Amino acid sequence: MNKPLFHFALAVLVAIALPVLVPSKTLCSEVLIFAIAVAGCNLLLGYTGLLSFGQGIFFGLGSYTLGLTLLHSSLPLVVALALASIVGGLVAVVIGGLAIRRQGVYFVMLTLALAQLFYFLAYSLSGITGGDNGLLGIPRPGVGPFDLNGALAFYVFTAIVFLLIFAALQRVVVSTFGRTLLAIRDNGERAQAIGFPVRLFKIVAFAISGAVTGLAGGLHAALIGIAPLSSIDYHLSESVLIMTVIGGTGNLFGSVLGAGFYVIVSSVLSAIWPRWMLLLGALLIALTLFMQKGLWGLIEAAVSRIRDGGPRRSRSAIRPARGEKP
Amino acid sequence: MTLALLATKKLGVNYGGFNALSDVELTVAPNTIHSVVGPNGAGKTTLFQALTGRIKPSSGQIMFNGDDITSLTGDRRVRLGLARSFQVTSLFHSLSARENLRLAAQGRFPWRALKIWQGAESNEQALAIADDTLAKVDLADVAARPAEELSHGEQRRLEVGMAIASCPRLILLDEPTSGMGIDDIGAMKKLIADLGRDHTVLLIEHNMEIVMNLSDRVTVMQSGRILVEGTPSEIRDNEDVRRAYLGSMITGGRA
Ligand SMILES: Nc1ncnc2c1ncn2[C@@H]1O[C@H](COP(=O)(O)OP(=O)(O)OP(=O)(O)O)[C@@H](O)[C@H]1O
Ligand SMILES: [Mg+2]
Repeated sequence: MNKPLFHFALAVLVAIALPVLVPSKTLCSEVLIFAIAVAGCNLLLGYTGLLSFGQGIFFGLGSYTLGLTLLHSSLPLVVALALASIVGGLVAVVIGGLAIRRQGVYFVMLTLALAQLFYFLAYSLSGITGGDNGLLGIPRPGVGPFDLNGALAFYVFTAIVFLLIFAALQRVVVSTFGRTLLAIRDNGERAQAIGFPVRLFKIVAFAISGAVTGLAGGLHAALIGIAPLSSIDYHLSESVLIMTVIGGTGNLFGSVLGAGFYVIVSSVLSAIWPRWMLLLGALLIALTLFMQKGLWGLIEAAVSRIRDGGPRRSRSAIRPARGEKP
Repeated sequence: MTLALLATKKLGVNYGGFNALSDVELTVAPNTIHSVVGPNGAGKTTLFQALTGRIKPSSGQIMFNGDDITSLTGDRRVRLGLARSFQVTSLFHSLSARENLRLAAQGRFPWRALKIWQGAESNEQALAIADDTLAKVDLADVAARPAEELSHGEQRRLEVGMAIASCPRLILLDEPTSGMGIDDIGAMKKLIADLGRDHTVLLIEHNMEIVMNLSDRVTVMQSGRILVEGTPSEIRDNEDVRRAYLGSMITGGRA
């Protein structure tokens, strides 16, 4: 149930099943793009214990970077995406480096303040970012011989990128580095005491998270053809965090579930009932009260129930997360 | 006299106006078990915090193996061979006992842990140390269990194991027997005695039986200062010490 290969197989299955089940291929792409961003957030929240409201910064900068690159040069899409990722990663080093100087609530507040700062920067520098309107008319060049202008073609491209990132992150979380992040999440003080420069490890985690999120932002701009101001909005950070929690922290496939659930449900509900956010709020309350391992924890519990033929739930699925220093 | 492994000069720690430590001159000779005792609030843990770089001393110097380490960060000190266990158990609760120790061994070479592509199981050296330490602290049977599921006695032994696994030259143990039942204490006493054979141990301990039987030197602290230092028998017969303890604790453990 927790073998990396099994989780990767599940991710492949999702990538194949999505366009079959969901009519809008643009929505399908959006799910996987957010799955990438959510996995990046999960690396910080679930694996390092850092609740960052700065994810929107990296996403937005990725969008702008891709937009500016494709509007002002004839560089290939893959290069533009790489640039979006690099910018996200570099800025994350700075943001992370600043924010981790404080712990707990103060860390969260710092990421929040920095998110606001970048939002207003993007809003004010309208000569570069297009301000309120965003960057419009971003072209979508093909990759090699493949034309990506069809919604399905772009979905296939997105799915490949998604699976590559998913596999890479899976590698990261089982690596020596990833296991050290878990140690830092469990007990930063002890990690420091046994010799780990905890701040450096947190900054590297930020860099990876920022690079992954920047890539997602770039993909999103390529998908919709604009880099809107909303892509660097505080609301984006919030949505990504909510998806991470809904899916389940500390599990990468949970992030795919969280993104899928949020993106699809919000698109369906917002069309029929404008106050759908109320339901989302209720769901979040239920999750935080009863199911801290999110959707993935629910599935895990269900599977172990079926397997054991009894009501016994896996210990980890019901154990409340320890509220030590985040 | 041989060169001291650890020496503090006029060490002082100030917590917002309150002198938790003043003028502490402590010298620890290599290959000895040196105990620090004293009533609650005497400043014993504070001394450890200063030695390991957890807090900045407000005055004085710390010399380790002849070098001034006063301004070094905690992780630098670990690399020089200084390791500690905590009075209040401090483990990676969701990780297995073995992985806790593997990480502690890895802390000596933290840069190797920056590899983001290599699996944690590839750190053969650190794993070998972890397995070795599991045997020393008698936790081989529960190696795969998450730390949070271990019994209190097992967690205390793992806590000490965390210090052992970094292969230190000086090992600081802060009340290793705290909260332990009588059965577990015997095992811990044996573990400390074993450690003393090939490590230098600085031990904070309230259990006088252990202190008097295992120590080469004993330092008694009171109100942030060193009251007296000597061999266990000198300490037992000291009038000031009897007064500091109101005659209560120091009587136990005549070997
Ligand atoms: N972080 C802190 N801030 C302020 N005062 C502190 C802090 N830590 C300890 N103290 C105070 O410093 C004094 C020494 O505390 P310390 O923990 O070093 O004592 P100790 O000798 O280890 O006692 P015990 O035997 O109870 O563990 C106490 O009066 C304590 O209240
Ligand atoms: Mg203490």
